[in-house]
Amino acid sequence: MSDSERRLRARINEIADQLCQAIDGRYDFHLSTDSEDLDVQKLSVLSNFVLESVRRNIRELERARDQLEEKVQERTRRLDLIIQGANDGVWEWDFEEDQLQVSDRWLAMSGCQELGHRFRPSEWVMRMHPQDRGPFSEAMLNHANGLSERFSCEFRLQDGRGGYRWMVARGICEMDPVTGSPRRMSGTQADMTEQKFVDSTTRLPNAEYLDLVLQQRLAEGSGQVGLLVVVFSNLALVRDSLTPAEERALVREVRQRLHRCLRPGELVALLADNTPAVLVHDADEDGLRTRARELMQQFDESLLLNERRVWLSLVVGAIPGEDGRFIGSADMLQATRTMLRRVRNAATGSFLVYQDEMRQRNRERLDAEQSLRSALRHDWVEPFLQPLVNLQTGEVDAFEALCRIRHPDLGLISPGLFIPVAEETGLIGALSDAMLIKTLPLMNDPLLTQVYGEHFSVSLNLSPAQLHDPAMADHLIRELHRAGVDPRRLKVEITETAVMADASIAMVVMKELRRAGISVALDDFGAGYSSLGYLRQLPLDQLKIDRSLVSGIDSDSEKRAIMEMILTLCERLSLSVVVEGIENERELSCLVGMGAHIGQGFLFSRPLPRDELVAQVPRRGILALAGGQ
Amino acid sequence: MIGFIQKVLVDIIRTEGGEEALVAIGRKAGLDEVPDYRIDRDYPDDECLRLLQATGEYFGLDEDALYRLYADHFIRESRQLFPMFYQMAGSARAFLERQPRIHTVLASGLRNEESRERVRDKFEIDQQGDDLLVTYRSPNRLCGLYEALFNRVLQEFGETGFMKILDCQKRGAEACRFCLKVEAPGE
Repeated sequence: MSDSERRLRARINEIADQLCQAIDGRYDFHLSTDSEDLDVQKLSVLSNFVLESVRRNIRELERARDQLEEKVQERTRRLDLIIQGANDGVWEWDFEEDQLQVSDRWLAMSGCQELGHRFRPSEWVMRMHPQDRGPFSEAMLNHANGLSERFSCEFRLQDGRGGYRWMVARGICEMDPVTGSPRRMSGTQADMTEQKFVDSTTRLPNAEYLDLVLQQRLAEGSGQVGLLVVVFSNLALVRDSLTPAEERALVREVRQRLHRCLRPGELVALLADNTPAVLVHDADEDGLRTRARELMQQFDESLLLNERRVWLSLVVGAIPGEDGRFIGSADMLQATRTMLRRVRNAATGSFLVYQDEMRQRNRERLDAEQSLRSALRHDWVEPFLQPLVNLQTGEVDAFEALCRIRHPDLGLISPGLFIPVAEETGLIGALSDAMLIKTLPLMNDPLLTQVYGEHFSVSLNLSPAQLHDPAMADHLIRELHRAGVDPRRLKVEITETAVMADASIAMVVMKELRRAGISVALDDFGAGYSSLGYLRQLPLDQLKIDRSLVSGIDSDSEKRAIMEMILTLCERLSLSVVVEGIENERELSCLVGMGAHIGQGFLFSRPLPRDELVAQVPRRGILALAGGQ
Repeated sequence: MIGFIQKVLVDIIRTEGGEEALVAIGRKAGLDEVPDYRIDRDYPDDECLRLLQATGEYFGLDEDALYRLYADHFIRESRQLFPMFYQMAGSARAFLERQPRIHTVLASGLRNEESRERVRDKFEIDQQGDDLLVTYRSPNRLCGLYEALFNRVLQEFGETGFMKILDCQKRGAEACRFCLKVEAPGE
């Protein structure tokens, strides 16, 4: 090797040695050579160029990275702000690791801080209401399989304090670009409890929430569950006189007073009809009675509504849930509804306790209502006639039409079952109307007229609603005309209670009826707080004495004295008297002896359908049949 | 200024007038001894400018003729030293597009970062449709030399074209801006 070659190799190695510095990832050095050889200089220049390019690329990459980081930080900041503003929790479900990563807010809203930020997703699902787990998994699966564009599911989540929050989770899947299978799903969880579980007017938890908590408490099996329902009997009246601001103050004040009665873990919520109910830990009657007393005491003082004071009257009903009495919340809430019906009709200040028998009665009432509605729709209403007997002559020349329902499956339904229901539900008007339509043709029925003559009269009961309907008289007269019946053959029976409800209108209707020739009878006299004074004032033709005064009259001197007084008074007032409820010969004999003119009762005949009536009740001679004379 | 510029000039002087001319021109340019210019070093700009001026005066060449002579030598020597730059280009346009980067390559040899930056910042090139827009920013104001080199590059690749001066530092502009139009054979 020549000297020049040796020098050249040395220079080349000099440059190569300097390049070795790059092995540590360092490129911030500069190559230099003292060589006079142009090619060595060229090698040096180009090597420096490569180093310079690497440095520049690194700088550009670092700048790009910094910009990217800044962008990411900025976007993260904005996203954080949005999430913070939305008050949503954030979650990320790693399918491969089967882990759920959640934010602080998620933990706080879910009431499970003890889980930490990373845990198995099953912990989440198991905190959901059992009924919501299936739909949640289904929604997630649908999205993971590409059936839905986004995952979205509403569910109820335990809040860690014995209650539930209503949540909505939304998310989107990230798919593996190679396999196409879902890798993770990220999303948010928003608390929509306010919208779902809180009544916007009262700010109290709604019926759905109460149902949910009740379900859980009953499922726990501790037996420590009781409900108090609170009915403010004068609430509607009070509200009528309030301004909107005062009404809001009333709602707030009631809520606060109810809350004052609560102990830890208890709840005030609304039933489906917005009646407040208090879920308490007391489950027996005594405990509930004490709690009810405390509750009522809260309303002993008036409520200050802005500048006005009002008193609320309340009735409290208790539903003890002791000893596994209810199999679920639906069962207990049904009992609550039954209880409510009682509570609403109870006197102010009452405390009522639910009894299982109430449910049976309620069921019967419900059945009766259904039967009644079906009867009205399918024309199962049928008038039965009970004869009114002239106690002096034994002649039958009048009947009372009594309503019966002939159910195709159940047969005859007792009026004792459906009349109270008809009055309670307001169906009494329709029922009375149906009776009128069915009864009027009987008055010209050939068979009846053949047996009882063409002039027998029929009396019909008028409901309180009909009595207070100013158009009632016109309606009756029109129907009579349509049926071709002389109004003088019709008598309407009204009760004293019905008249008293609004005496002025009732008087007008009664006078109009009488003016048209229709007789008016006061029914059930003596059954309640009967006033003899009214007898003089009311436009009446007849008085019907209630069976309670008749039953056992033969052996009750007080009843006899009252009866004699009524009979005398009516004679003086020119009122005819019908004595109802005569059931045996002794009563009949006694009444005849007292000078009673007309009698009605099982002794003569039960109310019967036309054919049976004709077959069993002759026009004359019934007293002999009854054994009275 | 990178030593390669001066080295080409020295080679021209030697070729055209021998050592005697070099000494004379060196003295004329105020140099006691003309250095052995290295391509990986930076030398004072004014020294190069004085040498250029002295060369023209010595050989009785006006600026255009001197630049044409210089451009011819420069292309030949650079092609000899960096043949790959020419092979990679394949056309005058591609070569001109790379020219600022080639300039940067030569600047990479400079140790001082500031010197490298100064050399690197001299040329910028942008495409505007079929045209190339060149910005040349240097206190040396050698825009005439650039035009000579442009013409010689066209010749090197057997192509035609022309350069339009949009702005010129000599006319008070902040930078010279040229519009280059290159027509490949057959266009």
